[in-house]
Amino acid sequence: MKLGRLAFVALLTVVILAATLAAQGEDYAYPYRDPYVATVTTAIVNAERLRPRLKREIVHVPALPGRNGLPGLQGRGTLSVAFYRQKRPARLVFILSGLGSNPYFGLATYYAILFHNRGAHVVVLPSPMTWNFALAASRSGVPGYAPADARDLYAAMQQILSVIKTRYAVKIEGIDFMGASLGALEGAYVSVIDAEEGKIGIDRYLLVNPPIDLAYALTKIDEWHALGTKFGAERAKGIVAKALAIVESFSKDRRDDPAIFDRVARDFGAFTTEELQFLIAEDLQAALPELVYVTQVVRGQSTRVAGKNQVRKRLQDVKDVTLAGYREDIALPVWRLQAADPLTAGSLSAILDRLRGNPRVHVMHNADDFLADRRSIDELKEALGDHMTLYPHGGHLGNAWYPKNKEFVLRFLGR
Amino acid sequence: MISRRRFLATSGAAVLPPPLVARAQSQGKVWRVGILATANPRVYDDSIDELHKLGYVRDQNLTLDDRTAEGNADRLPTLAAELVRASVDVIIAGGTEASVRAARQATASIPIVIVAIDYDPVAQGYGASLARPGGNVTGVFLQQIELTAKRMELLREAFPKLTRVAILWDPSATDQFRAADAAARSLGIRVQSLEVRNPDGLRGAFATAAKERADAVFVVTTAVFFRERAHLSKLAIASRRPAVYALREFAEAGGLMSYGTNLPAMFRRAAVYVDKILKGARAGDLPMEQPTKFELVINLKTAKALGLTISQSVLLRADQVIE
Repeated sequence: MKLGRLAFVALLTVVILAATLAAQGEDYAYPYRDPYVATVTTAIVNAERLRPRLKREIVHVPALPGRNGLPGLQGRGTLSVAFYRQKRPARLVFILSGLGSNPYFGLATYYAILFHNRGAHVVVLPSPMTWNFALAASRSGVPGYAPADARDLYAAMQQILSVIKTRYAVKIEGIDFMGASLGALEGAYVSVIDAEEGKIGIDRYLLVNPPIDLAYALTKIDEWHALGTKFGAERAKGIVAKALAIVESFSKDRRDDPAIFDRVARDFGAFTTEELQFLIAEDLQAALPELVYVTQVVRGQSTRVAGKNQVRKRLQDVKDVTLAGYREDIALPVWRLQAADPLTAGSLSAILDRLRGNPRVHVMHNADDFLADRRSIDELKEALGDHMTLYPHGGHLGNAWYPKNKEFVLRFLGR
Repeated sequence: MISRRRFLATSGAAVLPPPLVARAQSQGKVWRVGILATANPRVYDDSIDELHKLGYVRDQNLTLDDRTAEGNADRLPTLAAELVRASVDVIIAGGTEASVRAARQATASIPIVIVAIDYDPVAQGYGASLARPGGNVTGVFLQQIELTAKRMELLREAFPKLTRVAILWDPSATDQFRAADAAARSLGIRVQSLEVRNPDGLRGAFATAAKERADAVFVVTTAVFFRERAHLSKLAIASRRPAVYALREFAEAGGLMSYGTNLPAMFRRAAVYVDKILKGARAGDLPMEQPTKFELVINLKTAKALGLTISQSVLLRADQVIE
C-alpha cells in the first residue's frame, strides 16, 4: 500500500515536471542543446561594452580583527566589494557569484549594470572562496563549508551596509540578494540566517543554478580537472590558451547581443566535450592557489605547502593544489569541527525544508545543469514548486545572458 | 591567449656576452614575469632590456606574459586575473594606479613591482611605509604631486607674463589637477580646468583653451596622455599655446618643455626589483625607491614654431635642448 502510494506520487511528480518542462520548453528557444557549450558562452558575460558605463566604487570594509598584519599579508586584511550607487533613495541588491569569483569582472558585474540601470544600488561581493574573503572575513580561514561561509557573509554584509550608509550617505529602501552557482548555495544559507535573526531584513532572494548536492558537484569538478593529466601538460596548456584567445577575441563586442553568443558557441563548438569539461574545471579552480596561500598563512598550516619561511617554495606549492586536495587535506579537518559530514551538512538538501517555507526565496535552475544530477533537480523542483523556475536548457549558468532569463531576473528583482 | 601576446623581450642570446649567457643557462628554472600595462606596453621595453642585462634570456630562463588594457582601465582586473591564472612569478604593474590596484586585487601572494608615476603608493595604502612596505607590493615611485608644483613654477619662470593657465587632466589624475590648481593659484595665476574623459576630447579642450585665451597649457601625466603625446603636441602647436609636460618623451614628441624624472630609468630600476625577488627576496622587505634626478628638456623647434622666446634663466637650467 505504502509502496503503491510512493510510486503514485513519483509518477505524478514526473508527469507534473514533464508538463512544466514541456510548457517552458515550448516557448523557451534557448539555442544551445549542449550544456557544456552553453556554459562556456558565459565566459564573455561581463560589464565590458555595456552602456552606460558606470562609476564603480571599491569599498574596503574592515573585517576580522588581527587579519591585517599577518606575515606577507600586511595591509591586505580588509574586505573589498564593488559598489554601484544611485543618487536617490533606492533598493539595494547584493550580488554573489560562484566559486572564486571576485567583484571586479564576470557575471556579477553584468548583473550589476542591469540592476543599476533599473534604479537599484548594487553591491558585488567576493566569493567566500577568494583569498580576500578568506583573509578578511572567514573566521575559520578555510572557506567552502556553506553554513559557516553564510554566517561570515552575513556578518560582512552588515558591515558593508554600515560603511556605505555612513560613507556615502545612501538611502536604502529595501534589500535583495542574487546568488549564482556556489553564491546561490551560500545565499540559501544566508536566507536561513536572516529569517531567524532579521539583522539585515532581506526581502527577496534569487538563487540561480545552486549546486544541490555539493559532494556531487565537487566530484565532477575533480574528475574533469584530472582530464588535464590525461591530456598531458602541453595539450592542456594549449586548450586553455585557445579558450582564452576566443574570449579575448570578443573583448570589443557587446555582451547582450545573441548573435555574438552564436559566434562564441560556434568557436567553442570546436572543442571536444572532455576539453570543455576540463576548461570548466580549470576555470572553477583558478582562484584556488591564492586562496590556499592565504589559508595557510591564516591557519599557520603546512599541510600541503612549504613552511612560512620558504616563500618561493610556498608560492610554488600552492600552484599545485587542486580543489580535491584543498578539500581533503586542508579544509575537511577544519570543517569536521563543525559537522561530522560537512559535504552533506553544507548542501542545499540540508535546508530544503527551510527554503520551502520561505516565500522570499526563488530558485532558477536548468534541467541540464551538469553540476547537479537530474534526480536532485527534480526533487528540488518538487520541493519548491512555484518558488522554482526550471528551464530545459542552459547548462550551468549558460543562459544567464539569454533575454528570457534576463527578463525574469529583472522582473523578480529589478522592480 | 598566446597568439595575441606581444612578447616584448628582444631575444638576446645572439648579442649577450658569453658569461651572461652561461649564467642564464646555468639556472634551470624558467621564470615567468607578467606585465600589466594600462595603455603603453612599450614603456616596459626598458625593464625587459634591463632584465636581459641581468642575465634573463627569453625562452631560456625567462617567459614574459604581457597584458595591455589599451587605455581601457576597466579591463585591468580581467587581465590581472589572467596573469595570476598563468602563475607568473612576479608582476610588473607600471604607470597608473589602476594597474597596481587591479594586480593587488587579483593576488595576495604574487609579488608586484610597481613603477608609480601618478600616485603615492604609501598614501594609497599599497605599502605600510617606503622603508618596509610589507605585503606583496614594492618598486619605484615618483612623487608627482610635488613635481607638479615645481613644474608650474618653471612654466611661470619661462613665461613671466603668464596670468592664465589651462590645466589639461583626466579623471585618473584628480590629485595632480588639484596640486596644479593650488600651485597656480599660489603664484597668482588664474586656472581654467580642461577635463577630458577620452582622447576624442583633446581637440575640443585645446580649442577651449584658445577660445578662453589661456596663456599656456599645463598637461598632467596620465597613461592616456602619454600614449597621445604626439597628438597633444600637435594640438598645442595648432592652438598656438605653450604647454608643459612631466616627461621628456613629451618634449621629444614635439611638446614645448618637460620637467620630471627619466621614465626609462624607472622602468630599468623595476627590473632590478624583479631580479631581487626572483632570487628570493620578499617584496614586502624591499624598500620602495624614489628617483632623485630630474631633468628639464626644452624643445626649441617647438618654441620657434610657436614664435616664443623662453627666458634665458630657464634655458640655462635645461638638461637637454632639442634644436
